[in-house]
Amino acid sequence: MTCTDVRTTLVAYLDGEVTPSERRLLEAHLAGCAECQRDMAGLSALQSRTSQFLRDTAVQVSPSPQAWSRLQARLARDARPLPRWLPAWAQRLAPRVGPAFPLIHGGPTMKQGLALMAVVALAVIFGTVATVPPVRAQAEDIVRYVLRLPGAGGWVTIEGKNMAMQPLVPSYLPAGLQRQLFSFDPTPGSESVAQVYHDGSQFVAVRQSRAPSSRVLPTGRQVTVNGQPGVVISGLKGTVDLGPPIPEGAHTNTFGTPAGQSSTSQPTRLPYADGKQLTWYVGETKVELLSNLSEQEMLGIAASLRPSEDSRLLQLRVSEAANE
Amino acid sequence: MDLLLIRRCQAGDQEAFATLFRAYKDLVYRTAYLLLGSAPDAEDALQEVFLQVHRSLGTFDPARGAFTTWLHRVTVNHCLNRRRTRRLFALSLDAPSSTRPDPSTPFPSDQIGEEEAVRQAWGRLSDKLRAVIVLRYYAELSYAEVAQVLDVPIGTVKSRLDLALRTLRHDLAPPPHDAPVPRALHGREAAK
Repeated sequence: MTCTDVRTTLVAYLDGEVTPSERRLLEAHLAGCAECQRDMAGLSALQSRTSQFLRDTAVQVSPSPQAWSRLQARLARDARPLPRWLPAWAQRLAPRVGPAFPLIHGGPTMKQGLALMAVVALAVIFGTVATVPPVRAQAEDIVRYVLRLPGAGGWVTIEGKNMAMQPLVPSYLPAGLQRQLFSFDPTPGSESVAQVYHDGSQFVAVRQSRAPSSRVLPTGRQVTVNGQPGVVISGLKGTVDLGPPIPEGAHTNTFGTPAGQSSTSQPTRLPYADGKQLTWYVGETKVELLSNLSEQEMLGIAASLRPSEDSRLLQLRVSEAANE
Repeated sequence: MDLLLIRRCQAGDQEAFATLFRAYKDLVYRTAYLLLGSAPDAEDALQEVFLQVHRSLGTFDPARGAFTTWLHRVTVNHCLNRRRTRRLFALSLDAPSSTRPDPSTPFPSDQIGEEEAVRQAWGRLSDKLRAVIVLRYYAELSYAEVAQVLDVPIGTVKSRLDLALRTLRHDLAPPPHDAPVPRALHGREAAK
């Protein structure tokens, strides 16, 4: 065994995870190699230090006393029958889409996760045609959705439910700002919706996510948005990712890139300086605005956010052309 | 784990599920906290993991491994997926670039205390390296169990653990100039 062989096996040796023959070879080498002995001693000390750090950190935190009652409420909501207004296809899918994502003995696999990543990254969905008449989304309604988007080697389909978050859209925007991106993360429990409006130099990004139980606000200048306390942080620098250009066809009756068209366009990025972030809560939703507009404009946009009544944002059409 | 309790849960016994929750909530919450790094996120993970457990407990097969291994898998998958989708999110409102620590800055471990030094080095570890460390050195799973949780070969577990520890060591005490530098640092995962 060379020093290189030994060093790549030392951690497993310390963990008691080597075969008897590996152990014999390794110990024979260690007996005559002071450098590998030092390496082993250092790794052993680090293992202890890491274990201690993890135990010390974990023991300081515990779930909230309300955790079980919250879970009970979610379980009860899960057990509700489907809303009657759902289209026939959604009703038919119901038995198959109980879990938000199909679980294969313990949760989504890496492959499924990567598929989800691809889907989320490409989830440019506004302007799609609904298969149901517009409905006023109710907070307790279960919204089932089926997304079909181009992915590696063909179309990727995900099915889910509980996209209960109703997008907030601005009814006021400074002239010239156009919506570039509308995306959402459908991960149950951490649903979030993002929109970006820009004119090439100025932008405003709106992100909504579920309010954490702590409902804390960051440290910054205190403001009020529609009577709710909010906080503005100024002086931010960075780059906002505007997402992929909205593909042809996304405005008509499909979403994503139509078959035969490339979906590999590089996202547009917009650097900004003197950015500001405004954070506040609307009911059970945490809302964040990031923008390089003036604070006054941001507050105006924030105050104008209204729940979208456009069911097309949530009810996505199942394309007939499966696996084309 | 009492298989009878699992079977009662599988049969839809809500009282049994409440017992299961009480028995394992700390395991799930603390594992999620170590992986996600925030109490609100861990609280949400606790809810989502037990919702998944409730929905998919029927697929748990004791012949394929211990319940805790299965539960760790659900927990780790949730946390890694959550981190992944967050990274993919078009916006990074939670961490504007001006507030991000610069990973290239030498780590002044002598100035900030040992525990804080470990905490910062831990925070810079990639998600996959963090997961393998938590499963081995916090949950104290065997390499075979870690491999089952992460759905990777045992050889990958070995190489990730080796890389994770050497990355931490590199961060905590910069090695002499002639010492080998870990192949992948900060935010990058092992090749496998």
